[in-house]
Amino acid sequence: MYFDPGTGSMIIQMLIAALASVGVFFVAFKSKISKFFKGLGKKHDKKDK
Amino acid sequence: MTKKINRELSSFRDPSGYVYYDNQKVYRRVNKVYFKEYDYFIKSGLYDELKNNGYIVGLKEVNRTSNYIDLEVDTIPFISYPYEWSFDEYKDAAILTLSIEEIALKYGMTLKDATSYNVQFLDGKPIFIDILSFIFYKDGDPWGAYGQFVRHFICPIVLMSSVDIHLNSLMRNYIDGIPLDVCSNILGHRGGFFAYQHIKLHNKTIIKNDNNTDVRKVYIKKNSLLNMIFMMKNGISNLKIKDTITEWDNYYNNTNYDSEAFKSKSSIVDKFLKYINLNKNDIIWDLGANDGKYSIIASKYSNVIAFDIDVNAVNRNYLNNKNGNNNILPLVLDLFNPSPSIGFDLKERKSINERGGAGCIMALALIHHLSISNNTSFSMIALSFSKLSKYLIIEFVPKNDSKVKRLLSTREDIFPNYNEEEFEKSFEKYYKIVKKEKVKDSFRVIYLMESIYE
Repeated sequence: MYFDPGTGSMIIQMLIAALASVGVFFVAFKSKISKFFKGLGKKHDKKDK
Repeated sequence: MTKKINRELSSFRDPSGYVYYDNQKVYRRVNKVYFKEYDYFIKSGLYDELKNNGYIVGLKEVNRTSNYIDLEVDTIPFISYPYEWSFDEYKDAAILTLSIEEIALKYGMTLKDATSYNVQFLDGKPIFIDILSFIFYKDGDPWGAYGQFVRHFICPIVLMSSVDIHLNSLMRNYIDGIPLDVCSNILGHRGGFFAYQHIKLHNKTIIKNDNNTDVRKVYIKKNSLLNMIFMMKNGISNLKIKDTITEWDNYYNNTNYDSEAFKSKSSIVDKFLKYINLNKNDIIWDLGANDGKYSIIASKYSNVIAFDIDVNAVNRNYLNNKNGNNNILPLVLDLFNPSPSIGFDLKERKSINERGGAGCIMALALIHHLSISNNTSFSMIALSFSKLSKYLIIEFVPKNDSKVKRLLSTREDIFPNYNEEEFEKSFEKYYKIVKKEKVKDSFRVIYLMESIYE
């Protein structure tokens, strides 16, 4: 590297990368989760009838 | 015996090499200190994967000695800078950089810098030009270029999305990206969690570690780094601009023309462009292009740069042409405050007049905004245009036109010389009028002129 990357910018990445690992889980499984809740709703409607 | 070469003045910070010009071609010199990285970059297949995705410029090795390698690289017809980009152009440039970093990590490499000046636009898409930016990735290391990426990409894009769409103009003031403290202060509580992490919390961490000489050992798993890049791409992709209607947004919906006049103007412009017989290297500048309706006609003949002061119109032009007329590059430009030379010795980033000029300038539906709204004389306009290109296609919009009537309705008419006769007299000081044709169903006249300025 030909310039100073900055100590603070390196340190903050540890936190952001850790948060990102949680974020990726939710983004990748977002459709699965929403489908799950939609499925619950349908079962509930059938019961009411 | 060293050949005298024309070195690119902005290419000086990186000891790995530099850009130079010779006989209308662009070259990159690779210094010995970078040989290992360069050879791996090629042999590993990383360069090929980037090239096949259309992410990076083409290169050809033309010379190799024990001290340096010379690469001939693809030319970019028109160099543009981040303060000239529209919102989606900027977003796409950011996402491209992150996609490249992702792929590089796969091959055990990483980008050593992440400046917005590493991205240019070619064929309607962003493309990466800095071939020497790739260094070896050391397992566990954070991304060295992350801070620069935030200043050059995240700060301007978040400001455009959360505060005001014009704020990438700050890139003109800050040569190495918008500083995090400046950006934090402007944002306040805006920008959501994305801005909180990458800008505000990041800024606090920088301040806290300013005087920290005890460098803590930072360790990040490669997979976590990839997750960070993924979430940055995701976060940037989700940013949108407010749907503001500016005065120019519905310009063509409320335009003076019925379709007869529009068809007539289109055919005149097409006829004049065909007549001047440009060659493929001559660029056409469409000034005041708005959303590019006439740029599309010009794009049949050569590459078009579609300039407009309205950032929303430029953005719409870019989105409309992304998968279509890909030789149109829409850019933001205020003719009364155009991009100046900036940077070290005022030579690092070129002014708009130093980007190679044009083969032809189009100035349609523009003259009344220059002369009346901005109080400029015909002679001043003619002189400035004549220095930029050989040919000019310009539309004279007279006082009885409804658009001019609207301009004069709220102000004093101090323009006794704003008429066709004076227009021709002034322009003939700098141009020869080659053709002149009235637009059907309209009071407007379109001229084809040839500059007599050397």
